[in-house]
Amino acid sequence: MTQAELLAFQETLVFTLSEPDRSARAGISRTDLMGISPGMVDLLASLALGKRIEKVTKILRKTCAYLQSDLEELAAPFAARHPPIRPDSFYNACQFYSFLRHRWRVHFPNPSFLPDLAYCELAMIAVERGIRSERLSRLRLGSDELLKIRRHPAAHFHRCEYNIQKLLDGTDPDGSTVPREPVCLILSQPLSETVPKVFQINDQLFALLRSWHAWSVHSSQDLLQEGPQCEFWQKLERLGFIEVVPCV
Amino acid sequence: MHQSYKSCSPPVGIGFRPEAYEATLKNLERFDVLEIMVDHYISGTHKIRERILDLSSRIPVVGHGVGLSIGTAVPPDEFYLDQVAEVLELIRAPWHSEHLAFTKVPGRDLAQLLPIPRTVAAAECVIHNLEIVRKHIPKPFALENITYYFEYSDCELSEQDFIQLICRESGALLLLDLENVYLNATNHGYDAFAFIDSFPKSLVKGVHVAGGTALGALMLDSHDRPVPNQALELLKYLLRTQTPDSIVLERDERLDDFDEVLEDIGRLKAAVSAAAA
Repeated sequence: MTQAELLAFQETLVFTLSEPDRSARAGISRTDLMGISPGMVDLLASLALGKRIEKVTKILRKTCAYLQSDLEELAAPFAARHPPIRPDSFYNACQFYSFLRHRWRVHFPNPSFLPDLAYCELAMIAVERGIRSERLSRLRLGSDELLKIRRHPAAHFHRCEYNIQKLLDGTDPDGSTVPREPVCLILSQPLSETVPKVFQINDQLFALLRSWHAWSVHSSQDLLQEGPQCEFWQKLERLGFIEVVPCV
Repeated sequence: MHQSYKSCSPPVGIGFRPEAYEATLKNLERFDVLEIMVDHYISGTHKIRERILDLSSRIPVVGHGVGLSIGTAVPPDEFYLDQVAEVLELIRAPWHSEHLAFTKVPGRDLAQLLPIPRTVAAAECVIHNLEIVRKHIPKPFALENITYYFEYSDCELSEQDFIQLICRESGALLLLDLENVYLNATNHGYDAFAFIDSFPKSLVKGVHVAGGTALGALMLDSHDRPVPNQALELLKYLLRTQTPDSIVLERDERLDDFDEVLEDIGRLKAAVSAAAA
């Protein structure tokens, strides 16, 4: 067996085990798989898919709890549409979210706030992975530095159709009182916290902050004039909504 | 700050799992060593990374990975190797280990350990890949034997000959997973003790033990049960001729029952003492 033949065999085996549908594997013979029986192929494919769903469940904990008995039925179509590309849990959870969004175009989500919940669960992990630093709070008043400001890349801005804040922060863990009430949420990790938090803010501030994709340059003298304006900027930074770096 | 391994020789510890951080920290004095999965650090959140760094400052650690896929017949991902090297430096791990298996091919990562066909050509691929690993990770490197639920039809070598060929030609050492030896011996009908006897002295750098479950007639490497007595007997037998640097209990599931994990640690330490007597 040459290296090329070995790779070709490994590709056949991995692609076969990624296919949960038996009929999709019908054209593959035992010879192609160096003697592995169809029953063993089924077992290995099932073990691999089971581990993948476990990874997804660890990230989309509450969403998968609501999906419950449907989760087993969804596993095979999910794998068929989104084959395994990367091993990390977050990537697989993103794939599963994408799969659910596609599905919900045809099959109405039950409960109806699942799309908002799934997005926010995924966003919380993304927020946790973001890098935070403190700048404004450390500057002296009267400092004449030039600063760049933008919305924090690790913060997630989401307009929810349902007010799921209590579901996310644990005050209503079983979602018994989730009203259909549009809210603007920012998911961020405040500088003083070790876990992400969910903040509900008004429409105008949400729109303003969300529009700050690009850096804008400000004088620290403008930002740090003593009074409410200074406190406002420092609060936005402390909450993890904005990122501030010195101009170089 | 730790300086050296503690009382038990060889040191006994667990594979650290982020979901069991609080329980691990609370019971840290029960362990002599922790095994850190480098992939947890590489793809982990800030919180997980900080916890790993904190633990590595309190107790000796060894490194272990699942993302390398050394058995794939293409060169390993050199960016990933650099990430691994960096993590090993950060946690001050004296050596690293990976599975003698493949999990992926270009474009698809099954994240499931698959056995490598035991041919000379496949061994040469692994040896070549290990040369690349050595350029990026200048630390002792051990290969772990895995569970396999089937045999390929075209195998040329026995499992022990395959392992020894690769280790001899590459300089890699062996992380001997005794649960996997027990499961493979049970599933494929061979003598586990003779398997252990086949390895030269000082080849075994580390040991893994775990508990599996039965699926019909097949024993699965599920890492969710106490270590079976048969694996403990293999450990006592192994320690007659090998002096591994660490003995690590692998537990991936049912970690909320941490008392069971601690009980296993006690059983492992008792086995080490019995072997020394």
